[in-house]
Amino acid sequence: MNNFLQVNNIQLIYQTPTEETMAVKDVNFNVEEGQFVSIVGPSGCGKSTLLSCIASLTTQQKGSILLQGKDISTQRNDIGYMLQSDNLMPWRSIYKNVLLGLEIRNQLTSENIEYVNSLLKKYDLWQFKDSFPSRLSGGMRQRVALIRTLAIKPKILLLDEAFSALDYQTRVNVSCDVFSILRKENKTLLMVTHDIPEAIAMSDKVIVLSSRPSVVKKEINIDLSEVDPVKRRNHPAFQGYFNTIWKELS
Amino acid sequence: MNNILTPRQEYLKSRKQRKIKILFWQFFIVFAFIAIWEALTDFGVIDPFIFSSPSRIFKIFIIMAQTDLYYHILITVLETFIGFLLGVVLGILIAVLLWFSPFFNEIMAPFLVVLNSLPKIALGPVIIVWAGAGMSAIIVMAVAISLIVTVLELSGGFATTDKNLITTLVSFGATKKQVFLKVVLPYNVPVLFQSLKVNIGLSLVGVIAGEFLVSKAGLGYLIVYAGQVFKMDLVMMSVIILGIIAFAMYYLIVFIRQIVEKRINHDI
Repeated sequence: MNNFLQVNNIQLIYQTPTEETMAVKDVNFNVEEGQFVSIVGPSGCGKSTLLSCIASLTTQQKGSILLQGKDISTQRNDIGYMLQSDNLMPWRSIYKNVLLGLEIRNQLTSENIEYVNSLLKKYDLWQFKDSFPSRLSGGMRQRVALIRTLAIKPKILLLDEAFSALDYQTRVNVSCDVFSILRKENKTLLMVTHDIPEAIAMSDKVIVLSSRPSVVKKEINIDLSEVDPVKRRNHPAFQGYFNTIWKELS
Repeated sequence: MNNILTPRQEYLKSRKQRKIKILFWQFFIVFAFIAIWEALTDFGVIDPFIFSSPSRIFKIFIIMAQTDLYYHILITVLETFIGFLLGVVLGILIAVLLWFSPFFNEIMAPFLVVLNSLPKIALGPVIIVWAGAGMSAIIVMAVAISLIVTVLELSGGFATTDKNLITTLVSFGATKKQVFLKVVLPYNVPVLFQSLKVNIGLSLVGVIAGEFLVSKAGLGYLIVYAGQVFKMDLVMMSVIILGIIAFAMYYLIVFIRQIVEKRINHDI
């Protein structure tokens, strides 16, 4: 299906006592169902702000954001949003952490719990369900956070620099993990990152934003025969994409 | 063979030894203090009539213990606990209100600053007039001293709750009440217990100050009475008992904290 997510003419102006800042000037793009799309841009360009508009965490923007043709703010239950670091609650066991979203939404039905159990088993976390987050490695915690988001069965996942708190090696592995889990679960992904290689490795399309106030500078379709994010980094065409995006950013 | 320890055993052993050493020195200081004090009075270096002495304190303790010492201790402990509980409950309620309404919070900010720096004991005479010359005035004094500190500490803690945890919950569609109960409150359990530890001491200060001003019983009453008739032994004995009460109440909080943290880690 085309135009699963439509972002039309988004403009966002911040008001502070000292000044008025235009964070986003005019952003338009589409995401197809099942597509993995990355947004890159210079730091402070408003890409995180844009994502929180899509997540309906901010509602001061002008323009429209449609998910399957309907205003996204009426479909908050279909959005999974993850931000920097895993944000697991240290006082909850892994299991209680994973059930958090369902608990908040009052959806702790046996069917949903069964689904969470199956996810934990499928992604090798079942034996840690009674442990606390501090016992797990950074990569495992990130996987727990992902399952917590998948537990609410979102149609689209929004990731805001979700791996930026991890060290390089974990980061590459985790992004690969997240990639394969989301592919297996047939999800649509829209992520914001400042890491160009990560964007290329994980996406079907990279959207390059200009510096503030942001507009879409370029949309680049990534067409690599290799699917695996780690192997993609060694693909001969990888460097070409990197150079194109790099040029757009500078 | 038995004498060779693994590094782990060695570590545990040295830890244990260190603990024993610390405990030894703590007891040593107490005994040395008592011994030196006793010796100085025995040899007439200091006047036991003014400075009292451990043996005289012990003697008066035995005498008092046979009459109404328990009653005085009970009154002071009771007043402290009631004042402490009221201060904590009211303090938590106000801090929660301030968290739920940032607008109210901003309105209250300068008043809280003034109330915090104001020496509450200055309100003593007013409190006596309002609450009556009795136990209620003493309890109000204890609450007045501990309340504002609780409010400030807790609302400070609430305000510094990890924003990303809150955003995560909001992204799941959490209501403000859910955000408070599922993140803000459990996140601030350490802050809460920190303020309880401070508060139990402050409540005791309030109770003794109140008893100085108006009372018919309690350790503060004993101290004032004994001071007026120059019974320094009784004053010192009361002060020592106060110290023991403060110590016991502090560790009671530490103990409750351990239980609560265990429960939180397994049940919430």
